Amino acid sequence: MTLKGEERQDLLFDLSRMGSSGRAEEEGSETFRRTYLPVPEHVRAFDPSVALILGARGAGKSELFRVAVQENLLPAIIRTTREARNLRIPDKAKWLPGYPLARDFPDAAGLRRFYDSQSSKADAERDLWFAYLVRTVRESLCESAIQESAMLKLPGAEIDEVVAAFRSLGSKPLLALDDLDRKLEAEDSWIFVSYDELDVIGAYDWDSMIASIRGLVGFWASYARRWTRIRPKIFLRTDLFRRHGQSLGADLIKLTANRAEINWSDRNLYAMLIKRIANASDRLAEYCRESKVRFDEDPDLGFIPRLQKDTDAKPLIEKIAGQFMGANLKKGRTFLWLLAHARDGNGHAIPRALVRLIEESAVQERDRPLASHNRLLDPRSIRRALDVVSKEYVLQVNTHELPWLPGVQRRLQGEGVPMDRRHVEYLLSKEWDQPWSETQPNIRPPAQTASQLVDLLLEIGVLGSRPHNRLDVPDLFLAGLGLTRKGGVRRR
Amino acid sequence: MIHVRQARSVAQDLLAAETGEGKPIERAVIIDDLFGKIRALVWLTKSAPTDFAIRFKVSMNESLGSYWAGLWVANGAAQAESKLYDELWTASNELGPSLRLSDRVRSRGFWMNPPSDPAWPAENNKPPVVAFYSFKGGVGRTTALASFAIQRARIGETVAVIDLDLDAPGVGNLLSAGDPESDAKFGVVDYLVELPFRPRTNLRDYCHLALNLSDRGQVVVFPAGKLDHDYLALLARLDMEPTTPSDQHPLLLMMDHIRNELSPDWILLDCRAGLSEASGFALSGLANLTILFGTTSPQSWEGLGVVIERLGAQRVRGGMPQAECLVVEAMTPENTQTAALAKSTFLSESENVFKENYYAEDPSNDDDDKFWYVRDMESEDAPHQPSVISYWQKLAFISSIADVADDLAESPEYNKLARRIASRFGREPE
Repeated sequence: MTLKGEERQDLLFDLSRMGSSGRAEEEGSETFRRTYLPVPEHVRAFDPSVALILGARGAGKSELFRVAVQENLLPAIIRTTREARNLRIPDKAKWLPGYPLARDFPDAAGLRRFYDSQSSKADAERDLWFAYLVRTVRESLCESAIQESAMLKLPGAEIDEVVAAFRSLGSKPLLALDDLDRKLEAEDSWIFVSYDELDVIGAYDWDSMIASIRGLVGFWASYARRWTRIRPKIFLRTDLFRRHGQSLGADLIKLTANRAEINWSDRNLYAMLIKRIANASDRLAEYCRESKVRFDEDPDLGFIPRLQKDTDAKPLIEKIAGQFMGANLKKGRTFLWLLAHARDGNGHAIPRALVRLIEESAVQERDRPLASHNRLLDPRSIRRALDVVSKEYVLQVNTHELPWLPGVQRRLQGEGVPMDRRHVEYLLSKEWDQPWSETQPNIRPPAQTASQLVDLLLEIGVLGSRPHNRLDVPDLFLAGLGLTRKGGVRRR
Repeated sequence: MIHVRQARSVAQDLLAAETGEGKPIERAVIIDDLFGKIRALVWLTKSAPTDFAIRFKVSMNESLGSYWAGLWVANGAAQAESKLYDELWTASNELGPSLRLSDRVRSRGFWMNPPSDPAWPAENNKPPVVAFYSFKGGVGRTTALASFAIQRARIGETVAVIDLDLDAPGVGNLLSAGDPESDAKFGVVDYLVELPFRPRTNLRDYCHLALNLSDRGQVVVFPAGKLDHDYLALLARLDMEPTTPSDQHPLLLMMDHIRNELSPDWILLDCRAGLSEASGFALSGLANLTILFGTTSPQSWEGLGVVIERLGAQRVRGGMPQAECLVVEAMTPENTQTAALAKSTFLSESENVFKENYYAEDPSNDDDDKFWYVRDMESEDAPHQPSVISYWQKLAFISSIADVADDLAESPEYNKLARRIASRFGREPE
């Protein structure tokens, strides 16, 4: 069946908007529900015994958070996922945000002042979280003395006053939470307190961030055993966990024993993508259903692709973008190429990047139609899209996660990859004390030396390791960092 | 005195210095003759000084010594000569926009000639021609060829195997018919020598069916020839040099004959190791796909580098897409730790050699897709990404291919290689 021009344009229009620019938090509720994929391996995060949830940048931790806290999709997940039915996910549960709390939490400066003013750092770190936990669950507390206390009435930004008020209450907060726990147990219900976006808690003040996370982990390592029905869900980036594991202390090990990891298999990545596509519009749903992919339908979650293995997605992917990534057979299979180019330097595929790649490919195809027959995307549109996505991805990372990355970019400008590690260290060490961010001159990378910085960049996947001490940059970062692949035979 | 290897580059440097915009020579051809002596053919600009030719001859003579054969100046030549000079310019290989090279050789013509296109495009039911090549012998090339043939036969296909290792025949024996009486009485050498005398020859005289490899398909083997006292005499009479027109080369005619008469699904060429004439034929671009077998040894990579340059850079510089190839890391150690190190070393070397000699610089236009580019190196299917075949002790001594046919057909490594080859032609098994 060959698509007519207008049909293709309509489908491309829908496809270009199916990912909401790849940010879960920007999607409306209805869209989120339709596009969210319940992944069996991730569902374990909702088990009450799991306190720590690890995932790489862009892995979808925030989506899990939203599923439970904002969208109340747990019943739908239990309904549609066999693995969820095998877990002890409670029926009666309240999900409350422990962090971020917007205006109800101190800013970076306030946090820094607070830590600096405390004689015992360890006590300060734990008291902080104890106090804000009480504030979070205040509406469920039974003890009226607590409910009338200044601690609950003060603005959340007034951290010194809040913690002072907390301390002045002596053992009352603890007793109040003990009572709450007993009440929940009697009612067979739960309160889950979620902590997300911890990497920005100190607004890139790494010491504050580590102190805060250490305090949080320490607090819950102690109290997770005391309370059976008040449970934490701490979402933490895997690289932070690995890098700062020691700094975060022995308490982390207590929580690590029962953790969930948000990893994405190729099968789940494609299922996630296909679900977004199939639920983007009725037209795309019909286009998808004409392929060999099987779908279930759920009133809350929409069309859910059922893939036994990753290659089950091939018929649809190849229907959309063809079998090969070039004018002929030799340029690699589209099915593999898409995933390969949505990976970081450690080989972790980033769901957000995969979605954006398809979205942007649709934009490119609409601007310059090249696809034929019943395909939506031509490989050339996908290649052009990769450059756009890379630049966008790096900008996003610069802005939200790694504000010092522009400094790396500037120091590596004009280089071609792969690069010798020593050369990279030399380039990074040049002007080491000069600013690393144009907009925030005080921002510095969390490393003391260029070698440590390279290790960090490898760890977070901006760089990839090659044999013989060479460093590569995954395509996802390449164009965005203004780097090129060097070498090759020059044509005349 | 300089060595013969240096003579060409010295001549090239001297000519390049005098050629181009603002220089006295408009264009030039370096003629490297049969014996290694250098002659230059030049077209002078109108503004060239009148004594330039004389001075240039002196300069070349001083630099090249006895390697210098003389200067031809095209300007003012008679019409017939002028035509010859123009033809020489057209037929020569580009070294630069205004400089070309004419290599006159006595042998290895296929290695020296400009690269060519495949015998036929592997589409519309035409069988892909796949050449199996290694620079050094004994690395498992023929075994891998046999494995591929067996695997495809077992899914019902007909595979024609041509032994082009005429100096050291092997595959005809490895894939024998089971007994000497059933093996082909004549082979490739006979066919090629006989062709001028027997243009309508009976193909079945030159091949046999390999025994006990498959119930479904078949492997039709064209051995090099019966290794008796006549073989050497025939081999000595074989002229493998390129023909004019090129599509009349006896090997091509043989392949065409096989294609038309047997309608095979594949034609596999077992190429001689090293820089032989027959390998030059296969590696000039006539195969649709060349499988390059290498090991981690520096000697292996030095040789493969020459071949990869032939398949890649030479073509790229001339504006032709690279000849399709993929590399196999052969004889990988069985020990896990050593294998990991070997693989890493091999991959690193493969990346370097291919980047320098095969992949084209990334295009400025993303839509440009004619070549394999550096940007394509990330693809799993990229030519430099090695398929690994480990050393397998069991295969070191076999009395008959039938003893190991099942192993070769079911080995995960050989399966992976076979799938990779097949996928290049859209023929992966379901």
